[in-house]
Amino acid sequence: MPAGVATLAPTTPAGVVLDLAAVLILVSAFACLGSKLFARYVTYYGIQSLVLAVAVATVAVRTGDRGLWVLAGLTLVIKAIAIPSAIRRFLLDRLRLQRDGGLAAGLGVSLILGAVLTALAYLVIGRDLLPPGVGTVPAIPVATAVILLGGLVMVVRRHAVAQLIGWLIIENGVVLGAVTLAANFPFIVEVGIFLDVVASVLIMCGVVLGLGDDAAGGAALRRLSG
Amino acid sequence: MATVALGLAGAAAAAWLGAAGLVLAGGRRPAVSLQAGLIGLGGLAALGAGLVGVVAGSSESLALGNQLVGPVAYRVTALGATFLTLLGLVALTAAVWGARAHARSLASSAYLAALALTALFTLATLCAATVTAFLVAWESMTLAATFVVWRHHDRREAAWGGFLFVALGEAGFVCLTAALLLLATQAHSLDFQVIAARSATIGSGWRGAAFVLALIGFGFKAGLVPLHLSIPEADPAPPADGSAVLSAVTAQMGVYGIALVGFRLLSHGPAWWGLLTMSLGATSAVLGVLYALMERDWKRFLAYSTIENVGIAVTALGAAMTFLSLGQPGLGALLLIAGLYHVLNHGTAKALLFLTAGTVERATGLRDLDRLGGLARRMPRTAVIALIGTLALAALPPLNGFVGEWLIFQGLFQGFRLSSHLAAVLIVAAGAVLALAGGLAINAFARAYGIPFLGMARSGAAGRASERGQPVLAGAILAGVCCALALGAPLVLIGLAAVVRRTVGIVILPRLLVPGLTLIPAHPGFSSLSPTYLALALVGLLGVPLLILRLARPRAATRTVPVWAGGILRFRPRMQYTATTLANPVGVTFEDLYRPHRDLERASDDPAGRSGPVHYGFRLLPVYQRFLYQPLVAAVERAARGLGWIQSGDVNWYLLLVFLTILVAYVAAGR
Repeated sequence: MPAGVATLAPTTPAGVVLDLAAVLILVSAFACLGSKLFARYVTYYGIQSLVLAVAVATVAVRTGDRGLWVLAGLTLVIKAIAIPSAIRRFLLDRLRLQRDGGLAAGLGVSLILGAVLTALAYLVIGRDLLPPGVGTVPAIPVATAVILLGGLVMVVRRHAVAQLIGWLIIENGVVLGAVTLAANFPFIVEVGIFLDVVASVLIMCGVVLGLGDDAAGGAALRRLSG
Repeated sequence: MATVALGLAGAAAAAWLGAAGLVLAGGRRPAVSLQAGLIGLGGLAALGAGLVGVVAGSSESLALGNQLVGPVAYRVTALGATFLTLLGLVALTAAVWGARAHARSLASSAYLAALALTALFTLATLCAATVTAFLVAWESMTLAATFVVWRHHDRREAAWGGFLFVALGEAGFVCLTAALLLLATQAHSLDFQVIAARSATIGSGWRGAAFVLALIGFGFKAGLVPLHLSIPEADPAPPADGSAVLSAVTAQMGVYGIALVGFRLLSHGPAWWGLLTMSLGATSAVLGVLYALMERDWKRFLAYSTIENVGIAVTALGAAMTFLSLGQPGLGALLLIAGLYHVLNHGTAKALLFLTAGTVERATGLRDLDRLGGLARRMPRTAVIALIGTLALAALPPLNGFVGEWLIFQGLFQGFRLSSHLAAVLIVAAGAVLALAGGLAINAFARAYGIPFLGMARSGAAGRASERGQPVLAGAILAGVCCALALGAPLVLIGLAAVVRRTVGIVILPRLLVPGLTLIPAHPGFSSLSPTYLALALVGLLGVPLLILRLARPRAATRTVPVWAGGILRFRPRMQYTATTLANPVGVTFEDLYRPHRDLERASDDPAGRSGPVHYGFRLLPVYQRFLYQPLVAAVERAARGLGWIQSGDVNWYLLLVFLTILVAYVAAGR
């Protein structure tokens, strides 16, 4: 049994904080799914990242891993502050994005699908799927559910910015799963994932600005069919 | 001696690589003549390597492999050397033709580079001694040859032919890779020699699967019906030197492959392998010549004839396998020799005829047989050369084609010596089918020689043809080789017997060649033939009427008057037979097979049909296209339409598909 995991059992204070954080992250993912305003997407994503930073910091406290402290700091600075403000400034303000009109499924349907996916995540993440000793960590099904919800956001939203948010939610779910599953995850991998996220945001900003609002809304993309 | 062959093969490879590389030094006036010269030099070296290899057997091995790519080795084997000789000869003559025929342009230079690479990779295929080396060389050969086909890529038929060539080539390559890798994994080695040594230990099911896969894979290249679709489309598309290489060498590489797997790698298979091979070959022979006979385009006609001749060679190889597996090694070796002999004969004569057709196309701009005519007077040297090639390919005595086919027939008709009645009947039936193909081939070649060369010109361009400045030498060399292969038949048999002894380990020569330059088909008292004396006698007999004319004719005053011709005042080209009419009796006889589509439009309904123009259209949809390829293509299209909804072009839809895949993975993992 890995040492880092043993200290995160749900009965310890750190375990409780981590579970709470995981639930908040899930709720903010649902909030994104149930919203129609671009500004709200970004706000909820910022909140989610903030909670994620707290979760990472909790794990860092328990394990005393210096790399995790750096990760928590990076999460706070980049994901909770830099990316939301960048999206606001460079995309929402410049393109005057307010109400998301490009919904492939209605909000009610989306939320029901999200609930089904969350249930599915709890169903499929059985004990035998996980490494021995980790099965008691309740954050794992939640992280899976967050990943699935991010995917659902990408599927049911047509606008490129909304899909970007979905992608970022997936990424948050991955980080949540990673720090709870294996606290001594190699630092270089986490930094690599981080760089990926930053790069993808930069690329999406460039692409979406280049496309303009019409094209980013998916109308032009739909014309690409063969 | 043994290293000489490998050295010469290396020299050939270097020359061809140089010829290909010269395209990079192109500039405004590319060195086309130098490229052709290098291709010719490489051909000469390959010819030498082949001859040395036939005489001296396997060379040492040149090993190049490393940890990453596995063992890669090249060596000249006796079987490969037989084909190497042909490759060298065809490359040499193609270069001699091409040096005069091609303009100094970048397109010609690139084309010659592709041709040189085709020759290079063919050489590599023939010398490959491991599975890796063979597969890489084979695939490279297909790709290089595709660029040869695409010389005139702006023409529709060349584009289509190249597509078919590469598409069917890849389909064959898949089967081939599967077959060879199957053998390699079962024998635990990639080396051909080790596979051959361990082949007896492989389970019979694996061996059978590997053989059938290899037969299909090589059948695509050899043009065995119904896998032959690319041959009539791709082989006529490039200039004549490219067509010669494609038809005389590349297509026959399929025969090499079948011989390699059937005799060297997997010797002594069960009888059904040979019978299957033989029936595919016999079907190809007869269908090839039947469709050749209906073809008006000269080069397409020659390509269909390639299918026929490859079919004959494959029939011989299949019968040889059957004889070997049923305990008649003498007849097996005889038929293997005969098959290889036929490959050499066909390659030589086919290259000759393609180059001749190319010369005529250069002189007249025509390939349509029904627009040519009377070329024997305007292009006399070409006519003589073409006559020699035609006689050789139609298997008429005294030329080499006759000797080869005579051996094949003598082998097949001794099927009665087998104890298995079914195999005996099938082998003799294959002989009968080949006899039908041979008869039709004589009809087809009489038409393909008579229509363009005899009679009167059927178009203005044919009437203005001139031989001056046209590349004639290459055909003349090949005609000389045809004659040498006939007159020197005993020598050829000595060489091929050495090849067969080294490939299947049967000493056949004493039962094949008896004193007096006479051949007997493995069993004395069945039949015998002396091609050398036959040739001399036939040529000598031609002198007899002249002699009689000279000596016995009463001397009288000469009188020149017009010929009586049924009251016709003046002969017109339109009064002649055309290629279409000459083939029509066969067309009517085999109408059930051809099912032709005829359109007849007359300007008026006058019963005589004489007033105004008459339009006669004739189209054939070959039987394999109707029953095999069309349903296949239709099924693929139906399936594609059925799956079309996947490709909606909607980003969200694609995301949903990815998402569902992930979900399925989760659920599958959660179980």
